[in-house]
Amino acid sequence: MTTIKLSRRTLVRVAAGGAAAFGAPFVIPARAQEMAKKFGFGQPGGASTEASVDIFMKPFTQRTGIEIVLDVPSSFGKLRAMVQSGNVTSSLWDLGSQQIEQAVALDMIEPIDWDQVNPGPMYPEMKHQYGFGQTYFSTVMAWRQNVKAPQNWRDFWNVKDFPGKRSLSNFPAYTIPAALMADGVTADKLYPIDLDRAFKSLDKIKKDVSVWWTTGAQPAQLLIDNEVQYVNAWNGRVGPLEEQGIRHTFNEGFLDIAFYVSPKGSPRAEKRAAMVFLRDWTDAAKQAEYAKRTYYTGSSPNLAPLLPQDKLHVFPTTPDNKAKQSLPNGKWWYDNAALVEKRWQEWKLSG
Amino acid sequence: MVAAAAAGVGAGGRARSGVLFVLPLLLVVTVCFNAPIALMLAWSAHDPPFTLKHYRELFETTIYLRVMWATVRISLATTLICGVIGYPLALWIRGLSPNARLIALALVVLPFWISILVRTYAWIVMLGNAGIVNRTLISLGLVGSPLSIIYNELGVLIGTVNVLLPFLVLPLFAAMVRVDERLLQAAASLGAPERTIFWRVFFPLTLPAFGAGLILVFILTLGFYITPAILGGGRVPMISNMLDLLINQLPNWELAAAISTVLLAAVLVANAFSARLRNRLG
Amino acid sequence: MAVRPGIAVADAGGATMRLAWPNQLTVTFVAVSALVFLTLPIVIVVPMSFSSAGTLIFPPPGFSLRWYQSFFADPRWLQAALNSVLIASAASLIAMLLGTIAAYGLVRGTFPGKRLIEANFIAPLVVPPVGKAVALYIAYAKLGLIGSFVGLILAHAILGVPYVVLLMSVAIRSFDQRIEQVAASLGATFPTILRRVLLPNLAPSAFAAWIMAFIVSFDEIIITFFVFGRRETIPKRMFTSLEQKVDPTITAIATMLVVVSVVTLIAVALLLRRGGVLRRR
Repeated sequence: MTTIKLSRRTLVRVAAGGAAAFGAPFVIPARAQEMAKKFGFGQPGGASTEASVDIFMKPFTQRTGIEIVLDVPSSFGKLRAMVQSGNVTSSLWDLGSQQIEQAVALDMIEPIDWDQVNPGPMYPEMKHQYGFGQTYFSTVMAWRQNVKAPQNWRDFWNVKDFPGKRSLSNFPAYTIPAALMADGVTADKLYPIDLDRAFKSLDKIKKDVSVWWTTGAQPAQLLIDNEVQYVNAWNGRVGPLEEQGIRHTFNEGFLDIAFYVSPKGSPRAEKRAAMVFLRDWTDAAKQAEYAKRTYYTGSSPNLAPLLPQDKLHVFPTTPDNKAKQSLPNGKWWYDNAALVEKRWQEWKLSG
Repeated sequence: MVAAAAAGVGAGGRARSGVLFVLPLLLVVTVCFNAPIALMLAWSAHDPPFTLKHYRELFETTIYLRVMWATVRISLATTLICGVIGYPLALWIRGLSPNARLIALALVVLPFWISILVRTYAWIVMLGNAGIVNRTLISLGLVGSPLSIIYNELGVLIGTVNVLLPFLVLPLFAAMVRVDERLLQAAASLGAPERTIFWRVFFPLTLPAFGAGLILVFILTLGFYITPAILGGGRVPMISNMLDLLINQLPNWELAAAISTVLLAAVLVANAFSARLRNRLG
Repeated sequence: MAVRPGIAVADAGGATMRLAWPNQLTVTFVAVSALVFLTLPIVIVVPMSFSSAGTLIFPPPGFSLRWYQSFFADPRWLQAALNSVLIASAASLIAMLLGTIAAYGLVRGTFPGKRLIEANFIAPLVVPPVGKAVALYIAYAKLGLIGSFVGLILAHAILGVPYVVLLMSVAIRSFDQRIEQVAASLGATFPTILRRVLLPNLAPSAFAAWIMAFIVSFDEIIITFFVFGRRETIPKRMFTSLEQKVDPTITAIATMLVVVSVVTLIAVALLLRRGGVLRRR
């Protein structure tokens, strides 16, 4: 794998050199093509960032000499403040699928320069105009092994036959679809979301939800501490906990994509370096290593065979698991963000 | 008369230097606080350049009003509880011997050093569904399923009172210690019963510090973020959590700025009121 | 020594007797309960720091020093601790200096706009942390102060100022100005008045104010989050580590802080005792 990558890279260099030599008047002056010796990167922190550093960033720096400066933790507000300030120190930032739409509307990000990235094979949904699809992640059902295992959201909502406290995500985008499916809506009919129906469904389970979780670690922690018995959670948080007695399923799970975006106004040379870095992310072998550590799978269609075959059930995009899940309609969530939030808060406050 | 004259002499000389005393801090505060905040508040009237539409949106949207009211309600409750248990605590410490006082004060101050995060999680360990209290109750057969002591307003109150009580007790104690014993003794030797001495002499003398402490607790609860977020279970949105949403998630900076402005105005009013109180009694 | 409630009073014969406060029993009960309530977290956290379990469980299943080892073996924790102490010390010092002087000017002086300026000093308390954080982030980004110590120290100092101004105002106001004036008329210069007259009497309030300013800085999370770049303070690192899981190392840190503060308090108490502040007059 590595040799193929190197030689492709060498090919690119030669081609670029050749173009510069023969097409000089039509090509941007060589000086402007140079890449910065470092660039900034907004990362969420924690295990996934550490895995990124070990598997992608350190080797990249070793190979190219380009340093990557992290800004941790990365929040949407921080991104906006940075772009607002005019001093854009990061050329890459971590965003979710809904947030990309918001960021575009607020003019906070630039298109990805796909030519510069020159990626390996990627699933089409990972190649967004404004975002580089980094990994898939899923919001799934999880529970403690000593309680009755739910097969679908209907079971999850059934407090009588599946007794125990619940914890659901405080982000409506991860919980409302579950409420609809519990009420009998099939995955293909989820959008446009029927909010009234969703909240009626949520009413049935309201008093059994102890905690509305706001951080990724919470649902897993609540299960481990036996504070609650059933949660929805991101697969990367509950996957590693199988040995500690936490079970999960991708059945009726909600697949989603984490993107890397390019903040508007970053120095051109730094953005160039960042785009070149992104190419490394399409390497299936590296993605396999990353998946082994974080349980989140990358964009390469060639990834599945490289994953540990005895643990396939923990990865979101193995053919088996991918078939059981649905992707979100990012545009719908963005268009209705304010309305959803208002109704969500109202619903929670309404005793 | 003499006092007034002396005060006049003092005041004349002090009036000019009063400004000098205040200037250094004013400079720092203007650069590091006023300017950035003013910039941010400008957002509240932003888009198009000057408009009051965000304020209109704020007051017309019931959800924001409800969250603001919930925040005020919790702040008032916290203040009340802190006042009711904080005053006796300070009073009791005052009545201790110097050694005992030290230990008691140390116990009041010590929790400060446990980061607010750790303290909040300690409450979960104690009062959570799988916490000490619930496990005991269930094992004793007193309840069938865990009681929801936290992950609601009660939990938030427990957390905020626990964090803010020392903010009231310490300055109150300092003020109580400053009360001149001779005043109390004079009243006693005039034959006044304890109840009268307390309510007519001692309590009024401590009122400025008490009032200042209560207002401090109230203001701090208004802006509280971490404890309500963790102990509220996502069920007790206060203004800070709402602002976090508006700034980091939606984002709607204009509305966030409008809310901040209203909050600021409310507290400035509260502070002016407290200053008048202090002057009337101080 | 036994608890002596109430006030000392000389009776007709000149002997000292004690008057009890009204409802002494209720007062004692409420006070002790409040004290227990305040210290419950310590009672929980300290034993858990010696726990052998991987999560927060009380009572701890076994004894282990692993969480202390986890702290000292991790250079990032140690760096965070150093940063926290540095920043809190500098910030509280600045807050005390500027705040006390300003409080004196506010109480003793008369000049136009005094009310407004006082409100300005208190204002940082009011603006919710998230609002302050974003405002400072934008301002600091323009000034290039992101990730700098100076920036964070100033921000934290501003956070401590309201406490200092509030507490010291009340203390100075209660202090009879005539004593100052008498000293002045006896020829004492202001620095001397400050040292020999004001400070000893203001010491309890000053101590309370300093502690609050220090802790406000030490415990601060949100502004640090935004403005300190990649650098960490103890609470920032605690908060980000909580993103992964609840790491019992935080209980070890809390316990160590308790020990440090106990030692400090003992030292301070000895000093104050020397100054006669805690003695009952």
